[in-house]
Amino acid sequence: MEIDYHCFYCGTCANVCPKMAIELLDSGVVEINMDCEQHIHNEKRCGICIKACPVGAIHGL
Amino acid sequence: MDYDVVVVGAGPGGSMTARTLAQEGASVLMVEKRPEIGMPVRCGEGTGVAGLKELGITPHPKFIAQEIYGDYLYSPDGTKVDMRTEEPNGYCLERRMFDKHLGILAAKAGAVVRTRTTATGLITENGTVKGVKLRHFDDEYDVKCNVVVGADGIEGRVGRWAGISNRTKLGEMTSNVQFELVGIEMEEPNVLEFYLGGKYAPGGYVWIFPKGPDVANVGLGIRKTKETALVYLKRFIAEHENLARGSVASIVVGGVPVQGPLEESVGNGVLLVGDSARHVDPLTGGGIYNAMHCGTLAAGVIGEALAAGNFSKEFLQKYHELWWKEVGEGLMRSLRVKEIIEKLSDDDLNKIAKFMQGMKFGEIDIKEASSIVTQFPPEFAEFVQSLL
Repeated sequence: MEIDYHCFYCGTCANVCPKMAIELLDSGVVEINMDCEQHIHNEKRCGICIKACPVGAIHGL
Repeated sequence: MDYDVVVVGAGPGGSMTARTLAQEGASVLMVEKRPEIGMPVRCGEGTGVAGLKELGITPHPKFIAQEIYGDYLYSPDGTKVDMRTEEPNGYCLERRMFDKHLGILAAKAGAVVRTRTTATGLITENGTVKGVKLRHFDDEYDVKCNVVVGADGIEGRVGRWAGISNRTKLGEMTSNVQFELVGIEMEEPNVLEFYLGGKYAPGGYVWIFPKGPDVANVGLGIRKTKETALVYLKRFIAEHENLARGSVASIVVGGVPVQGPLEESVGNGVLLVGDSARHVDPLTGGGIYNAMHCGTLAAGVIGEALAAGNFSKEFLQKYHELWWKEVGEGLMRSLRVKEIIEKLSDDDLNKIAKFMQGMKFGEIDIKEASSIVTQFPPEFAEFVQSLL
């Protein structure tokens, strides 16, 4: 998963993520951590964050 | 204990909790991960006159952008329903100033406020929350307390750390984008405008909230779409000449959970307030008053817990029951209305709008409700009944 420059750091993705894999850091940056399914098991991404993002800032690699 | 209570998040819910507790004599730490309370704004900025009055917040020009006298509702075919009021019934706020004002009130009441301070985890002992792990720049430290209040917004983690799931289902999260447009024309600069229908905002609506004679927040929320909210908003603005000529002074982006309130909002030594407890109206997406009111309720119950020395889930459950009674039942009613509206087609909305055109909403008496329902075609009776 990748977050691009469209991100507004609104935290919508962090809420809908079933794995708590997305965190809005105090630096104002959104970070996808290793709990993301794709990272751990190399499974197909769930993609919920991609669908929820209001500006299309998250992409599956 | 370092503090009686740590409040995580300095939005309206967190600040009201911290302020009320501090006024009652509790030692309170309120932390905010952002460097400045109120920034960035993630809100349409509309709220009600009655709510602020009830909460004892005196309106001040520094955070009131515009008094509002009701609204116009537009159905998909452009049918306008006039829902204006004689007296102001709402405000369009400057949230960046409003939130900071509330944070300052909390600090003046005696709460310790620390910005750019992030909660990174909870301290638990035997299944009870006993404090919070904090980070301020490079300093990481623990703060012990009797109760942690999670007022950390939709991205909040306090609830989930404590085992309270406040994750929203994807289909129940609206994606929202708003432009603050300057140099636009509005029909009336003190009346809200709402646009319904699948063309402009499937699963949500478009709003125009005036902030001055030629300035307004123009935004929308959508659900279950392939295109992003940003695409929908740009399209809506392009199709409205009076808006398209405006300059964009700010862009606000965010998600609003419209799933209805949480069934569980407390744990041992912890409770949730505001968006993190989904104190958001599922129909309107509004939540400022709810968060603030629930913050005062939380403070009241925590005050009792401090006096009793009992911070168990069972004791704090009184807060959950209180807010469900005072706020939650209204939110569930809105959820039911939202679910009924979801089933309506654009044609249905047009028909309903035409029936509503002649009504003067500010003058409807509850005693007349049944007669109003009978004026509508039978297929819309459920919808109208739910509104009344």
